[in-house]
Amino acid sequence: MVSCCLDEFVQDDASLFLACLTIASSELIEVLAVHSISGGGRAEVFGSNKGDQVYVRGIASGEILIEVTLDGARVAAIRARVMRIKKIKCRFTIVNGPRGSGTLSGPSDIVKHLAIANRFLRQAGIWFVLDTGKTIKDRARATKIPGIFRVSVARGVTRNISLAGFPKATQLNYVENLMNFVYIHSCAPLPSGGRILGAATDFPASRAGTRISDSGTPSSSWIPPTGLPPDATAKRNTMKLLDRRQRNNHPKLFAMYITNACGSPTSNAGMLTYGTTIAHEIGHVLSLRHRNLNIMRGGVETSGHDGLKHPPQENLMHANNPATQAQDLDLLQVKAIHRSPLTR
Amino acid sequence: MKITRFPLLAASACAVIACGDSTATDATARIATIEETAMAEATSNSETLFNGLLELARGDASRVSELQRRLLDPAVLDVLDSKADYETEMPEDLYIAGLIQALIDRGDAAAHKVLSQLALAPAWAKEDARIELLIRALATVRPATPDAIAFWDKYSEPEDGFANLTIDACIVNGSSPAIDLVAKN
Repeated sequence: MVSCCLDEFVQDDASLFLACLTIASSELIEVLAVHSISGGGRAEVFGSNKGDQVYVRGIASGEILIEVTLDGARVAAIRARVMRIKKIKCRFTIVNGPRGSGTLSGPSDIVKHLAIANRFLRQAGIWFVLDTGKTIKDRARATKIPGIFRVSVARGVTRNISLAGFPKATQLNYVENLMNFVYIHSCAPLPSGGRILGAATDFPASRAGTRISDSGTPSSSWIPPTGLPPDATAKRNTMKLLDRRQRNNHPKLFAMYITNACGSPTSNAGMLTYGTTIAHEIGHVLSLRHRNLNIMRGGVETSGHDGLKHPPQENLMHANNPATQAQDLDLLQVKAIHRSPLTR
Repeated sequence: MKITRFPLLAASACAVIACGDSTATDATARIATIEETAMAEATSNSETLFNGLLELARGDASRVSELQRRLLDPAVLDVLDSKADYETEMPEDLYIAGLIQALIDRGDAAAHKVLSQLALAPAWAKEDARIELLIRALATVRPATPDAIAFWDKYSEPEDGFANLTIDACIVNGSSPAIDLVAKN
């Protein structure tokens, strides 16, 4: 079994984008061609087109197709979108209660969690940067790291908050039209005893509405039929999106929270959980639904999946798979992400 | 670390943009496998103490009474889970949670009596996590006892950090006193 990956990406000085195409075997791959598909997208092989790693450099925004051969036979066709990174401003507020009801994470931990989240989100062409604005509200206090704040609250604002409704915590110290992350102690346990790692609480509707479609070849996530021989022609795939989730009188609030249930903020496993929880919930803020499953950990029904069933396990928006497995985003999701008011 | 994967004949790619350094994974687990040891000497080791108390929770009624006596002792609680544990662990990950669960699983009058007595103990309420565990555990005691109702009533204030749990516990309990408390508050 061989698998083909796009990884170890590098952004060069000229802000052109490089992708390294690798193959998980000792055999050599060859990039046969890089085609423009639509929107004027252009890319080119950078260096040799053969080897166990081949670099592809994006030149102009739009969709491209990369064809890969192995031992002379075409083994993969990869549709990709070339774009410049969209930087999105964000701020973090650490919401602490009295002793025993504080968050485990400090400002320096949060910087690391954000860096990991960005690794997962960059495949979708977005990158979160800390806002250096001076706005402080709700008796919050600035920390030594610009864009990260602390606020002290009553225990119930940060501990065992309700999963339903709109938590007070994610309204604290927020700034309109940028992403507001809030670290809290905990959400009330699910009936099964399970704990919520994080939740998206406030986001306007996508500019695409509640559905978005794609009919390119190969199909997004290679949903069968893929359109590649011997498969039949690719069909139009439609993905359902979340509708808006907004509290009264706060139409420009984008917010989510992360809880101590993510574990140790400094262990490798914990940092990965915090980072991917942030990336997953950002997906919801950007109107993505769960991929494939309609349940969360603990068996509690959520707002529903996106209507697509592929890939079965690996998508970042999988409802409950672990961070070591659920990591990918696909073309349809990228398309949707860039229709959110937050990425405008 | 590979951050985007496109299995052959299984998926198509999205954007050709990203940069990366690496993250790694590890696993941490809290596993108690120590054999049962003499309770008399179990004062300095949380895991040993836990195993001994767990045996009491699973024993006959007289042993459950002994468990009650020990859980009302602040020194025992302090050894079982440290202050640092209470700061860094979720309540259900504490050793004390394992004992509460054993009492819930037991589910008889002896176990219910221990839970009710804990509701009256000032030492028990010194840690938020213990309050939280007991709020949820008392939901299994039906009909709700006056001690349980008084305990829940104390933790039903807005923004006290427990009210969400208390309401859920009362509803799960479902007995008349519990439902009346929800209506009252």
